[in-house]
Amino acid sequence: MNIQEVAQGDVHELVVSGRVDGDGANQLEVALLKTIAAGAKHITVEMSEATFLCSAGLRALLQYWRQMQNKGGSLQVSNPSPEASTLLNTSGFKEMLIQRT
Amino acid sequence: MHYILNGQLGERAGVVGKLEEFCRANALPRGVGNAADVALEEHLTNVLTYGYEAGAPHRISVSLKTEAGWLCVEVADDGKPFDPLAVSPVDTSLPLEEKPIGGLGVHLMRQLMDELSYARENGKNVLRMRKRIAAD
Repeated sequence: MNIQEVAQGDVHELVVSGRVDGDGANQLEVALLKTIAAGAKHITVEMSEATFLCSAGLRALLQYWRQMQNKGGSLQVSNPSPEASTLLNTSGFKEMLIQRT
Repeated sequence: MHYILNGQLGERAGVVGKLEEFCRANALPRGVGNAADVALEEHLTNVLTYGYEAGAPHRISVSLKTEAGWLCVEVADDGKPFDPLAVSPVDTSLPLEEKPIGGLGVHLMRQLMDELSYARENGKNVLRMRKRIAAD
């Protein structure tokens, strides 16, 4: 799994590619913590190239979604791959999704 | 296709590789392969986390086959008795604020696979999962 970060002021995007399995979820969590420590208020996790997502990744997303929400920021998922999309929808995570043109 | 996990380095990646190979060889639709991939990831994580004491040896066999339009996945482990189907269902309709963090693994297995059955056989936990092979 690979994560690339793009920051513009307090808006940060994490572009995740590959398998967000147990190890991937740990990597994602480390990246999210780093982003938050760097002052991100609005985080987008771009998942068009995330070929796999499982409960560990969903757990990390939910945990930091809540943390950002509680401090008046946001965390959203954009452009999920078919695999990531299936998992987000099956688990009731639709609220987390944004559609971009 | 059979694969044994007995503590070798990179065995989890080995399962994924074998599954990919099997899906390619059988020209399975992407969604069918992904369902099995997620179900195996969740179940193996649970078995390895809860079925064995830390550092205890394990022997887990994974078999894959296709049968009359179904993908059949069987996982047998020699860990403590553990019936994943006895895990209470989660309420996915709760808003994100109220969702419990975690506990989604078995839910995903149930949602993504069409049939699941569990049995304790000869001192082993045997989980059988089936997914109908349908186009994405």
